[in-house]
Amino acid sequence: MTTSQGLRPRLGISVSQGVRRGPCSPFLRFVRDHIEVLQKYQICATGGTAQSVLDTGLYECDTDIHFLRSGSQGGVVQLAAMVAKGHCAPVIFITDPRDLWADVPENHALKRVCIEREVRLITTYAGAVEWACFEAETAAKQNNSPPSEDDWEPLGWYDGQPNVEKARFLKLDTRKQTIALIAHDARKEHMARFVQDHIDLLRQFDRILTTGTTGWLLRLRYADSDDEDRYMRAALAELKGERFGTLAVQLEKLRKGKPNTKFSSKLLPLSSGPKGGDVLIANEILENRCHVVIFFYDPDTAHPHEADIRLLERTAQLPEVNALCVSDPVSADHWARRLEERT
Amino acid sequence: MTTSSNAPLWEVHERLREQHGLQEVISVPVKRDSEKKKGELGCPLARACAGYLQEKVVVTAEEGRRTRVGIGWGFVMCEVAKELEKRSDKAEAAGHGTTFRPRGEIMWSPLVGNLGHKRDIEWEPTQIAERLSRVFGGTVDSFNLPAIIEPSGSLPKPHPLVSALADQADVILTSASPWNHQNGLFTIARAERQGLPRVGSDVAGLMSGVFLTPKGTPVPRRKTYYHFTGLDFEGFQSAAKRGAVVLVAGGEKRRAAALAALRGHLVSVLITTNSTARWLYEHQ
Repeated sequence: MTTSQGLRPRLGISVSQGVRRGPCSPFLRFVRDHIEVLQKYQICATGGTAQSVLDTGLYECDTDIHFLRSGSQGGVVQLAAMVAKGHCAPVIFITDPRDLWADVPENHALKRVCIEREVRLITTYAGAVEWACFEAETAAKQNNSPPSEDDWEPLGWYDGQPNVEKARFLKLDTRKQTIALIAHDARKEHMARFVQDHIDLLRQFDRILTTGTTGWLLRLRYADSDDEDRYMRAALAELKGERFGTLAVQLEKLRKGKPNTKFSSKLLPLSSGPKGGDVLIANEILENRCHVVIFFYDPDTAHPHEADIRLLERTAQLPEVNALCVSDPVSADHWARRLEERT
Repeated sequence: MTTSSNAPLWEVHERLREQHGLQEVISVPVKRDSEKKKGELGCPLARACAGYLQEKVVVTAEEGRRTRVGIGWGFVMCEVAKELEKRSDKAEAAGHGTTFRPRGEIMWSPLVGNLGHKRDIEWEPTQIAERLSRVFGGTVDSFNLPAIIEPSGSLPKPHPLVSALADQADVILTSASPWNHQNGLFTIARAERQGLPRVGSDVAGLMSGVFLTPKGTPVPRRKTYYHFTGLDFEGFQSAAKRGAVVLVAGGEKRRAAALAALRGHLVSVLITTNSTARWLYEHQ
């Protein structure tokens, strides 16, 4: 079945090897018993899972299945980013509790993003069977608008340049690089100070990604008086309720900076951290389109989106990723000064 | 009450598993259950079978013990070997070739002796077994005898490979076909057809070298009939009890043969088309 536009809704799947290994494993039985329903969806699966589905021989060709990276190599990050962008629902995510890898931050980030975006998350074999038996058919028929490709993109979004080509790490000029600025609430003043001290350097970057509250805070701080109202209305629309309240409080604490439209226009605020903004930045890092991450986190307070924090670090640590990650104001200041001396 | 035409596939599978004591049912979605051109059903079935066999052999052999695999004959079995060769080449090209080379020892055994194909020699079970041994590794253990033995010849002692397959095989892969003038065995036998059951008599189908009635019992043997060198009815039953027999049969022409095999308790895993699965659900 296809939607009126000829597109099928996307089903995200990531299943641990322990659950799908063996010819009569629960996962393979699930695929075989419900193949007629699964074919109504476009499958987006992490590497090993996608290969297992393809190997059943029930799909004619691999174009019906979209391969993400393997789970441990960023596939779960990609899946979480698809959910954060609204490109994928529901998600079947089954881990083997005996598997040590089951407890990694990207797995928690995916679960969190599904909850925040109100995406159906299925975490057990029995849940998958129940969904396939009773919900899947109806859901596929109801979900007849194609996934909107643009909803998640901030105004003025464009793709950054990758700094890895055929596994070779490239040295890009600052003007072609993307930097991400992220700060927890208790560290937003530090971020504001960092930006104030190094604004001439930061505005040289091609793109400046931020999570929602940080981005709007900086935009409003350096906005022209003509743009202030417009940015305030946009921030209110983007950051609902609690986060907008946080923004207002932070604005009151900080003195307005000297307008710098070249800087504020390069800012691309994504969703707020709790809403998956960190996941979107992690995906940019994974694709080597975000080259520097300045992340001021607050180690003293437990955060509901702590998994996303560790997710960013882990993603930047993958061997095929070429990104710099700095997580405290002192190191960030040293990095910025050295770069300023060189440029 | 759901009828077969509107029953969801999972319900059809569940009922077939319960009714016939099957470990698994795999249904391949097809547009129609009749073949207009060769391979229209056989190739998708072979793909699904290849997937099952790949997973079964690799996981079983990885346990480190000796794995014995029995292989049937014919077009579908040949397509299974081709599909696995393709997958192995693809994995090799991607640098994952070792996934097809499990640690343990694998013995590949044809289910019947040499049939004497002149035109379609690649359908011979020994040929197919050799191809699979090149994909997964292991050795081929053949009967080294013709499949068909004259009734006037002395009854051979049971070949040791028959009991090895019946009692020890981890997987036995076979198809089932209708007994008619297009059947591969009928074509091979030619002038000696009087040694085989008459086409049109009470034969639902042929499963490897075993002729089955619609009730799933072996066709009563006459003195003029040939002896078959290969796994017999009792051998299939014994292997099926251990969960080893995988039957690949789907489509309008093969339904009756598949049903006979199920009624005879000769099958552990059924690989068929979704339409045939629904037909079997109705005709239990």
